[in-house]
Amino acid sequence: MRLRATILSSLTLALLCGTSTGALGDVQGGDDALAAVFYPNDLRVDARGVSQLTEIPQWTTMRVDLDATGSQNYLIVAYSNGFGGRVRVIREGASGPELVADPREPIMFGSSPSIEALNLAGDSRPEVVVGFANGRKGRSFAWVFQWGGQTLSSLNPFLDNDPDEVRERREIIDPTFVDVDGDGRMEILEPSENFGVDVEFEREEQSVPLVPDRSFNVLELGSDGFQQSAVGATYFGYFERLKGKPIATTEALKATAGHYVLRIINGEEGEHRVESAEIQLNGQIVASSNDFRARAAVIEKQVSLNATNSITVELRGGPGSRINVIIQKAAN
Amino acid sequence: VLLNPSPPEGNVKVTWDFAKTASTPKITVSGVTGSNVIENIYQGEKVFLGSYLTPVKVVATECGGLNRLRTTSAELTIPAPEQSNLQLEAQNLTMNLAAESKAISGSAVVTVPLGTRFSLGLVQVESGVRRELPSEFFLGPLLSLESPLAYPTCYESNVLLEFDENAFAGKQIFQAVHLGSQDVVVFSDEAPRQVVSVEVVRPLRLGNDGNTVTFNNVTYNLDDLLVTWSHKHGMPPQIAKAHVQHESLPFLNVMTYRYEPLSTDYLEFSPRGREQRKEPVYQFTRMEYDSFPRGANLVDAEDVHPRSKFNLDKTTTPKTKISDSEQMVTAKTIYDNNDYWQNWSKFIPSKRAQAIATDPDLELGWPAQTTIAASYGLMQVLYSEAVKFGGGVINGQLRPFYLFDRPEHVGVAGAGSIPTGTAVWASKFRWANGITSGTDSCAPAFKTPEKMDKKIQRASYLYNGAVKYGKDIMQYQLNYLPIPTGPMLP
Repeated sequence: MRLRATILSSLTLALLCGTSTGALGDVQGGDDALAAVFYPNDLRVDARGVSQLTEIPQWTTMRVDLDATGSQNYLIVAYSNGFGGRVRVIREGASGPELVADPREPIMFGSSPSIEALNLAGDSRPEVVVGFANGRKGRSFAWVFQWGGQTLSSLNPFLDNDPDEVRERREIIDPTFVDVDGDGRMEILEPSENFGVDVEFEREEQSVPLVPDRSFNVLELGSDGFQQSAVGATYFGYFERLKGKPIATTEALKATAGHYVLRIINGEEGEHRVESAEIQLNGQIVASSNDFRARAAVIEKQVSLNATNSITVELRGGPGSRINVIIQKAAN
Repeated sequence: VLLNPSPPEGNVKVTWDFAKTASTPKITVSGVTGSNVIENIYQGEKVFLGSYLTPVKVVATECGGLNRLRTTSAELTIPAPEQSNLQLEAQNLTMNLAAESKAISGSAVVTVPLGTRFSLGLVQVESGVRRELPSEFFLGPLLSLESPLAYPTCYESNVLLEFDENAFAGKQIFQAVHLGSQDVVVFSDEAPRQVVSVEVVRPLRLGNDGNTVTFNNVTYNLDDLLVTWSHKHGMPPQIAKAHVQHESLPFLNVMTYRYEPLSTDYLEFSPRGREQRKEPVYQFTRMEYDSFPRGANLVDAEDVHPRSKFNLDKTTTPKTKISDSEQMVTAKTIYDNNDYWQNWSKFIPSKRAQAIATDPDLELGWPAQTTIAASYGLMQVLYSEAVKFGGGVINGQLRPFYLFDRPEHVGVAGAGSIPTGTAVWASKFRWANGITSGTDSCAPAFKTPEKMDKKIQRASYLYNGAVKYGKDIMQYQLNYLPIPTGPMLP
């Protein structure tokens, strides 16, 4: 089950996640009020402290079935004071709602908290993904946590491998969760350091057309959390069939010229598969409706890329059907 | 008689012999310590204590003006006074300058520019052979600060950072982190205790490019401004200037302005995200939305005007720009008519792009918060950052326009982008070093300069959020290294 809440709204949460019938829901004012009660005092002190900075307290809540019991009896709250962030887990205790997990590691920072619950480990229990906006580009810095029954442990990759330093987990930037290899488990795509365009323009008259880099790092879940795979993705695109006449979407991308594998992950979690579509690469059809007719979960094509390329995708099936398109360097 | 260069060790013995007919004979010896004038002694010999700072010069005169000096000479005498063979060696590592040395006998003064990494060490010279003396270095108490520090900052109690502070080595590396002075006490098993007073001063300039800014025919010293605020927030000034290079478009454009409809506005201010436009701290500077009018503190011609660079309609000839009085301009309008040259869509995750393509009116059909969801000035600080860090205030008001580094703004403490930008960087440096509490002191120690550079790079990356940004800053800063005003050992 995929859950997402990016804004603080009990109504939205109810629609997306369902509401609990337990005592957690009985607090007057609902989850928002409960989250306010459990706002970490040290976030307030940290912002004000000696500094007298302007604190902007924010939080987002989500009810999650962490123990896979069929009941969303845990309230996850992601907090920010405008500078630093925190995630807390609240559950109904003998004498009312109680704090059951409050990890201090890793250190999280940013504002505008968001929460997602995703099954990343392939078991029955969801992982919790907490995000905070950071930097002038408004990027989301994400932290993936795994519930261990009593604690939340981070699954983020480590910052570096300096043997002299305490190992420290790093944020994941603008993560996209997608099953890259079609094995039924989601990987994380994170923009590479070259992602986007490397020039900005203050005035229109100074601008020139730019072909973007659309490459990603691929993070795979291992025994010690997510680790960067040796093979990245030169391109990733998510396409969804809209209502009305089919529309072709064209995107430009940079690449190192060579041989690649274009992989189409059809649908999500076995649903919403595309029955008819056409994909062109540099004007050549590389996947057509014949390839989609069998509604295979994964379709692979050998392709060649130039230094600059265009990919055009047109979905023709029922509205709501979707594909992920990934291009990766061929093995040899 | 001129002994030049001055003898590296030992004292100077001067002998003289005036004729008996000389009138008021006088020997003056410069370049030595202590009394250096001998009058009305016709013949003699005296040992002077060499100061080794300047060449030793001996001048013999008499009032008669005739040359009745029969002989005079100067020579090195042996033995040298105690510890006269001990030298302090200092090297500016940031600029990769040659090491300087100077005799030391108990104390010395070293001058370094802010942001400089340098080494100190004791050297013993015996028979022309130089040998580093293994020593232990301790930071003494802070003696002075040029001006008060500002929160957030690091190394609040020092002007120097000492690397690998427990080392017992021939040289020790330091970094000048604030303007002011502080002693370094040096202990060696082979020499008496030495006290080195380090004066951290303003550099002559930061590199050779972009040292001043001119706007509307008024010029100000950018380097001086960067040094002032870098000092307050404990930021290497060359790093601050590297951010200016990365952020200002084109370089040194004080009116640089960037609005982010698909990220900052979408995620933080719009009804599709956190909707922070509702927060009381933004009520006086936000753009109009729903039934709320434009913020009362906004001046259209100044605060709203930066959005006029965007097309309202790109299909007309000429293209129609957004007038300052135009109300309820949506993010969709700005996106549709300007993404082709602003490239916003090339930075966002594919799923957000798909959501926007699926229902653009829902996703972007809200009034664009072009005042509060934007970044300003040479360091491109977000308006929200100025709110949080208390910058950009003039006459009690924080307005977006005040974050532009115009000459009339930077003259007001806290206005322009640099005070906020350096504060934001300092907060990121604290986070990068695991210091999250505003009540905790920030004085991270590093075993090597390279380890500190990794944290500086990470703080710089966190400042912007682009993956490659930190690496770029470490490269750009090489253009703006602090140039010293003179030798380290004056």
